[in-house]
Amino acid sequence: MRTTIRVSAVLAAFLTLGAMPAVAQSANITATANVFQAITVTGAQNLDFGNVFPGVNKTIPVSAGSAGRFDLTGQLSAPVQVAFTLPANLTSSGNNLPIGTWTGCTSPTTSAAGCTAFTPSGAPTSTAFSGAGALSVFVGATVLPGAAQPAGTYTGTVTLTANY
Amino acid sequence: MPRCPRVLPLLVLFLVARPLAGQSFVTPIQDLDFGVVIRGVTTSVAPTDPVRRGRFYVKHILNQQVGLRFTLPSRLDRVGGGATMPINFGANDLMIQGTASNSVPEFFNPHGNQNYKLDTSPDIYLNMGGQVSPAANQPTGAYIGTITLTCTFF
Repeated sequence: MRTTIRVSAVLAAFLTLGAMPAVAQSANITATANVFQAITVTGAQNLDFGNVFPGVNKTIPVSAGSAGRFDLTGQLSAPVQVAFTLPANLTSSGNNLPIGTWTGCTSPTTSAAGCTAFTPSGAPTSTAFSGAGALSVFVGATVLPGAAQPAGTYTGTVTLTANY
Repeated sequence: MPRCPRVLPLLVLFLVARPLAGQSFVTPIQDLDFGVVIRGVTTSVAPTDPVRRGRFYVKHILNQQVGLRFTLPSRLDRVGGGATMPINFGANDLMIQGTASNSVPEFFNPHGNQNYKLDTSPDIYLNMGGQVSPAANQPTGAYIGTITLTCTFF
């Protein structure tokens, strides 16, 4: 009899443990997003070399009135990256006018005074919108006309791409 | 007295085979981060995106089942108040993958409860994707919501 009671108790414990309820646990993560206003880019002013003479290099600095300028708007004070697609030459009726170097400068206003210099390229350059959400990017360059450079009107396209 | 020694080893073996309380758990690994979202532009994060996906880690016992239930927000709240933004989770926005070399990722709808069997490894990662849909006039700022995973260990 004593043996039977002991075995029953052990079996009862066995069955109870076998029916142990499932255990639940919880964990949290957050979902986050930063809503920014869209970036706008406007080609505000063309880069104009004016008259260029064969064999005479000509440079337009970013501070010149004929420097190129892009005006951007975006999220107030937000960092932004600008990258360029730059032509290696200006062209005219199949003739090339090589461009030697590019210069750039960023400013919170449409004035180049006190702007921050950088070298335009296809690689992103980090800058930022002003507290008013404005940014201007100035572009200068040097053209290298050959001694026998054919006369004509030479043009090329400079593209600026901006991303947060 | 003479029969106890036969039964007791069975009980000891049984207790040893039961899961220990600390052996099974779920823990958060990574928040779901949509990053910069532009007004009016729907933005998605895939559960395969190693940078932006959300991630949980679950450990239990090989060949046992885990019940998975998500509590998902339908909107994110603007920090500081004043606005909410819709968030959606699609049919393949939950990716579950074991940690064994032969574990294959499987995709699920996080809205549905799952009883997932740990048949290749005793632990799994649960990667979360999603989609936010800011309105064209969505107030700018940071938005946040909470994703809860409740695991039932069978």
